[in-house]
Amino acid sequence: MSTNELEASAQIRLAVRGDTKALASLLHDHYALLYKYMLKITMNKALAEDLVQETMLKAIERIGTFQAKAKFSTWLISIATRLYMDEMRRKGRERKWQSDEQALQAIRFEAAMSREEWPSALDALAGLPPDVRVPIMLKHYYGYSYEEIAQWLDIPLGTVRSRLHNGLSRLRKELNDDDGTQTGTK
Amino acid sequence: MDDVKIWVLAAVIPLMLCQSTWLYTDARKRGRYPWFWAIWGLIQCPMPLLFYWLIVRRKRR
Amino acid sequence: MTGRRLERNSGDTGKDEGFRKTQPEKRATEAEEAKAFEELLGEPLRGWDERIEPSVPHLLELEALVTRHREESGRKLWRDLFMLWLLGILVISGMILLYRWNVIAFAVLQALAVAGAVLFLAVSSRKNREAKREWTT
Repeated sequence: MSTNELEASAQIRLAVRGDTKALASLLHDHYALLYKYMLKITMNKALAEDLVQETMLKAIERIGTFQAKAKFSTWLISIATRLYMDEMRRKGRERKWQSDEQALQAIRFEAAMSREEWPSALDALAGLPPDVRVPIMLKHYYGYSYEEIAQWLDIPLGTVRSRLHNGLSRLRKELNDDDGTQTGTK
Repeated sequence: MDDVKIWVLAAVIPLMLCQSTWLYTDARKRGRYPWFWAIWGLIQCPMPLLFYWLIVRRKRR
Repeated sequence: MTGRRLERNSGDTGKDEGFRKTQPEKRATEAEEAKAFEELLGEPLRGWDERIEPSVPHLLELEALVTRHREESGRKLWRDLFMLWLLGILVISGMILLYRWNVIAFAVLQALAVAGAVLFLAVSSRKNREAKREWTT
C-alpha cells in the first residue's frame, strides 16, 4: 500500500468513528468526482449542485454505517444515484422534461460561449431517459458491476441488462444515422 | 396481588417505550416510515418488531 | 415474483435477448456493448469530463457543514424522541386503563391495530411499486 492509500484508509476510519475534520477532508477530496458524475447523469447544473449537497448531508448522517473496506467514492456515488432516482420518481413527468430541456440548453450555451465543442453524441446521451442513462454511465464509463447497479436502482439484474442493451441500440441508431449530418435535438 | 400488578405496570411502560424508540430511530435511519413503526410499537409487542424485522431488515436495501 | 419480471420488462422492445443467454454469450454481449459505448461516447464524455470545473468548497466550509449538520440532526432527533415519549406515555397509559376497564375491548383494539398496520404496509408497498413502474417506462 502506498503512503497515500494508508493515509486515506486511516482517514476513513477516523471519519467513521466521528472525527469531523477527517470526514470534511474526505468530502473535500471527493467533491469534484461526485459533481462531475452528477452533472453527467443529470445533464442539469442546478439539479446536480443540489443533489451533491444532499449527498454530502446524507453521507454526514450515515458515515457511522460506512464499512471501511468499501471504497468511499463508490459509497458516495451509490448515495447520489439513489437520491437522483428518488428525485426523478418524485417529480411529475411534465415538469421534469421541461426543466431538463432548459437545463440542457444552458449547458450547450455555456459550452458555446467558451468556444468548446458539444458533440452530438452528448445530445444523444441526454435524450435517453434517466433510467437508461444512469446504468449506461455506471457500467461503461465508471465501470461498476451489474450487481451494484441493480442494487442502487432497486431493479432486477435482468432489467439492468435489458436497459443497457436497449439504451446502446438506441444510441447506435441515433448516432450512426446522424453520421455526417449535424441534426439538432430530437 | 396488586403488588404484582404494579410491578407489571412498571415494566410495561419502559418496555413499550424502548421498543417504540428503537423502532423509531432505526426506521428513521433507513427512511422507512419512522412514526408508523413507533406508534405501532407503543400499542403492542412483539408484533411490530417481528414485522419490522421481516420487512425492513431482511431485505437488504 | 417471476410473473412480475415477465410482465414488467418495460425496456424490452421486441428482441427477447434478456433471457436464456449462456455465460459466454453474456460476456460477449458485454464486451460488444462496451466497445460500442467506447466508440460512440468515450471521447466526447472524457472531453466533457475534463472541461467540467466544479467549484469545490473550501475545507473549512465543509468542516463547518459537518458540524452544523450534526448538531441540527441531533437536535431534531431529540426533539422528535421527546414528542414520541410524551405521546408514548399517553398511549401506553390509555392502553393500560382500557385493559383494566374492559379486557375484551382491549383485545379488540389490539387486533384492530395489527389489521390496521398490515393494511398500511400493504398499501404503502403497493404505492411504492406503482411509483417505480410509472416512472420506469
